[in-house]
Amino acid sequence: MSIEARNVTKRFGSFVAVDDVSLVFPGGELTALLGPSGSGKTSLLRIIAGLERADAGQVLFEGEDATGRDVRQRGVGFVFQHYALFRHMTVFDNIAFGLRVRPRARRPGAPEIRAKVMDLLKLVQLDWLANRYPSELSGGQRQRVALARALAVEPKLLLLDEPFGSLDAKVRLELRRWLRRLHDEIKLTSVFVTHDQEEALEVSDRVVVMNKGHVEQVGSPQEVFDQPKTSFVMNFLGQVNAVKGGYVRPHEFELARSADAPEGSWAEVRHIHMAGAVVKLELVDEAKNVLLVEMSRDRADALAPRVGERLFAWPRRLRSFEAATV
Amino acid sequence: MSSVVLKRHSVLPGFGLTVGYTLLYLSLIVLLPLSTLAFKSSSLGFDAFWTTVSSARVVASYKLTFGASLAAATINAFFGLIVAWVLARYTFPGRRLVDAIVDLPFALPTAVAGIALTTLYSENGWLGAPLARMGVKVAFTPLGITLALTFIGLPFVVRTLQPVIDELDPELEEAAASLGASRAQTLFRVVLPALLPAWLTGFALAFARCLGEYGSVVFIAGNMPMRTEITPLLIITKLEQYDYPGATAIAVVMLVASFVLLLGINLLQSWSGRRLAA
Repeated sequence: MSIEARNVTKRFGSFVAVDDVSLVFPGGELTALLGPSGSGKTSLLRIIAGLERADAGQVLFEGEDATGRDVRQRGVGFVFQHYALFRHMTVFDNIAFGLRVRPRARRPGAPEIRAKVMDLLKLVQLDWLANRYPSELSGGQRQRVALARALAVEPKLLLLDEPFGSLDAKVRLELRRWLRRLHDEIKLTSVFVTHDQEEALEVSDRVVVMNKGHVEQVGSPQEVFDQPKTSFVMNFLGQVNAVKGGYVRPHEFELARSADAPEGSWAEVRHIHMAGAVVKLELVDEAKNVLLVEMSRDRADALAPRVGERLFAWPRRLRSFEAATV
Repeated sequence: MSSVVLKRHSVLPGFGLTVGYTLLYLSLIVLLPLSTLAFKSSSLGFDAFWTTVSSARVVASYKLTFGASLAAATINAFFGLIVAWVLARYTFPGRRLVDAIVDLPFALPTAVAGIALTTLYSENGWLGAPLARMGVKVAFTPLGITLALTFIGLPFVVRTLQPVIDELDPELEEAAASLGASRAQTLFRVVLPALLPAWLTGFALAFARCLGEYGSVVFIAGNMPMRTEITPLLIITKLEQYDYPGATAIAVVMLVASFVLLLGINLLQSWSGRRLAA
């Protein structure tokens, strides 16, 4: 199901959380709403879900106005950052909840509910935990139960609010790859909110970068990373060096022992971080600016930089933005 | 389950000291007076004990005390829940004032409450007069006793529930709504089960408080034997007649009955709370 937000505005007192945002989420895609805290991404998600009312603007589901539709009638699966599992119910009862609260005419019988819940538990690979209580599960397991619970009502749209936000680093990584695979399997229109650019770039089909209630850029992960439209997007999507004439990403710097480029400057090596596949260097140029440079292990081995040494640094690629405001 | 660990390393040591203090304190303040109660009443001998505690007048007072306390605690369980919900969930002008008013029954001398309620609800009182015209007598009836006990018990329910409602994440209600649950389903299947352990605790505290209440009740009760005489008053009456063994015998019955009831409620509460442990 495709979703459209038209001129949506949301204020909290004098703070404008979402400022006249218009967006289209194509059906079947996994979209990331990416931005720093206070950028309005969660408010926008909650307005789409019907958990929050927009002060102005419309929300359309499949071209149909759903602005005034109650959250109960929207057919939206919502996954909360802190899972919001019902603690007094077992995992099974949590997932069955959405089916059991249906009006009698549409409520499946107990055997169908059972079959459906067990299918979902298999889908999230937790069928062995059906009779546990949420307090007995790990964070990653809880989030998968929350996802299964949201999917149980067969929503036309899945919304996830910082779904990996309260998990530790390793579980985060596993779970987001798993979410990507799951999405490829079930092809449900999904929107997830995150402040982690790596997560957004890795998981989603499309990224919506938000800042201060506005949409800065919409595009595929590669588009927003390689062709950022604004200095904000450039800065938010990765490490950036601000140099004379524009911005350079650390991996787009070239280092050499001789000045063989027109642009560039001499800089002294301060630190070398050799651990990992990518070698990270910190240099200080003549204007006392710190330059962050990344290069492959092979290139670093060939160059063999030493701390204290002076090297010539020039950008292979320099981006500048009109009316740049950092 | 691992085996019972009595002592383990911690930043704040003092297991022996604190447990020793706890036992001593409980012994001096609670167990010692209560054991003298049992001791004193035992001087009666079993037959006299039984005659005292099972006389018609005393049995009528048990019924009244437990019945009115149960009714008052039940009323408080419902209205206290609403008050606690409003105070925890909404902000409105005067909220702090309302919050402070809830504590008044804690602080007010119970006799003052009793006299105030009696004045209000007696047949020529502000509220009692119109009620009397409708044929409802409040003062000097079991209804009046229940009213006084309701006044006394309210803060127990509110103060027990309020922090739990504060902690209850509104996201739970949003999750239920997004899954299609109606407002009633959200309330009865999600919110109330989560509040149940604290609710039972509040109910038990209010109930226990009511069982022992004396000061506020004696004024509004009228204290007619067999009809509006509560057990604590009977005990006082017996004391005034220097019938110490008789007074303690009734007290022992009250004590045992209250203990059994509270133990039951506590077991129920820990059963419902076990699953909620995060």
